[in-house]
Amino acid sequence: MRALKEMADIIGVMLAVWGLMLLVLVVIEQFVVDLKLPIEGFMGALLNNALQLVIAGVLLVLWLWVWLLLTKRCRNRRLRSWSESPQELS
Amino acid sequence: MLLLKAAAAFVSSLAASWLVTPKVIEYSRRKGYLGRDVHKPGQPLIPEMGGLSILVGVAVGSVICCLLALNVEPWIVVFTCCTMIAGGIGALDYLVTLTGVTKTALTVIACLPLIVGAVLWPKHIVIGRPELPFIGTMRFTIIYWILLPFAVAAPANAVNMIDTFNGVMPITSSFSVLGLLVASLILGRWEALLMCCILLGALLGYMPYNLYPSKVFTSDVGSLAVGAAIGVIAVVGRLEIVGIVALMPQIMNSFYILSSVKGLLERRQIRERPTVVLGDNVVAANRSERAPLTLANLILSRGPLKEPELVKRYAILSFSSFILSVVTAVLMVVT
Repeated sequence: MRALKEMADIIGVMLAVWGLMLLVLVVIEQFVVDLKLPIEGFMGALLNNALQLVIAGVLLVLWLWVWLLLTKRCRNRRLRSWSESPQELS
Repeated sequence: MLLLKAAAAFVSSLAASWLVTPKVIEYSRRKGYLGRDVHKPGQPLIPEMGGLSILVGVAVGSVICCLLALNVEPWIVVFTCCTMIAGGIGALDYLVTLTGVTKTALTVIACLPLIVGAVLWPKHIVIGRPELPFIGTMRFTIIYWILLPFAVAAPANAVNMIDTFNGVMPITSSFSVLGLLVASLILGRWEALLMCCILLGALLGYMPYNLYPSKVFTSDVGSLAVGAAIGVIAVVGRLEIVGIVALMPQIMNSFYILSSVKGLLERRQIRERPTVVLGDNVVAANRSERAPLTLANLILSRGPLKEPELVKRYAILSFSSFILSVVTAVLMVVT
């Protein structure tokens, strides 16, 4: 039980990462894939694909950035609690 | 019949890897394939190449599946070939010592049977139609084929990167495979179910020898093969998203390493270790700014732990990702 309690914040990060991943994928599939520029022909198709790729890429990078941010905060909090209350070894 | 096949595949691969591991230990000791257990007092030499028994387990389970079906199914050929190639790359790395980039690039080759299988047997191996909760089948087409080589290489390297403490690889991988197994049951992906049974049996048969205190190390032979096998199960079973969720601890670990080391480096190329050994099996996080961030470093950032306690925390995290993967599969059914 103690081990589970100690891991709660990391599990929380994992939960957030999971939820955000599903959200980003759903947004890409529902909205980004349907984005179309009013340009016809081969150039239009190429630009549409490039635009969709860039937006999807930005969303995924944002997701990774939030993930790293959450992890760093989690680690700093854990390090602080280690410094403040040196615990006995399990 | 399917359940009988699944049970037979599970039991045969479990028995094979369990029976073969002592022979592999003996063989590794004779050949001098030994590695230091740096977390133990006195840093004893432990036989490596334990992953060979996982390969034997997978091979035996696959053969039993074929014998029971009286047919060689395309998915089983693809599954076995990908696993064996990844294991071969692991063995090559152990014997020749490859750089991080070369090894990662080579693991992409392990995807070839999957691509060839999809081209030769398009009715049996349907790929390129990943499914997502709330949406259903996604419309990724060209990008899916571009990313396909990484569907095997990424899990292979992620599983390899997490294999740093006694028992961590088989425990975390077993939970991942269990997640895929339950998801394939929920979604009715029967080929994936059989592949999961084969791999889970091989992992569980090997696990007792790798748990603390390890009698044998898996080495890249086993970890790359297990990761590649998980990748193939996810792709062939169209369980890509479930696979990502089931592999969350491994992916977290790789992401932290890649973001802090900023490149594909081998363990021996990283100067500062993410953890430090305090003696008597006690491991602590390296608090240096230059130390790479890893899952072990994150777990230990709350204070030092004995190795079995650290491994228990890995198991808790893997169990959580197992629950999440099942929830993802349920969401795929109900939405």
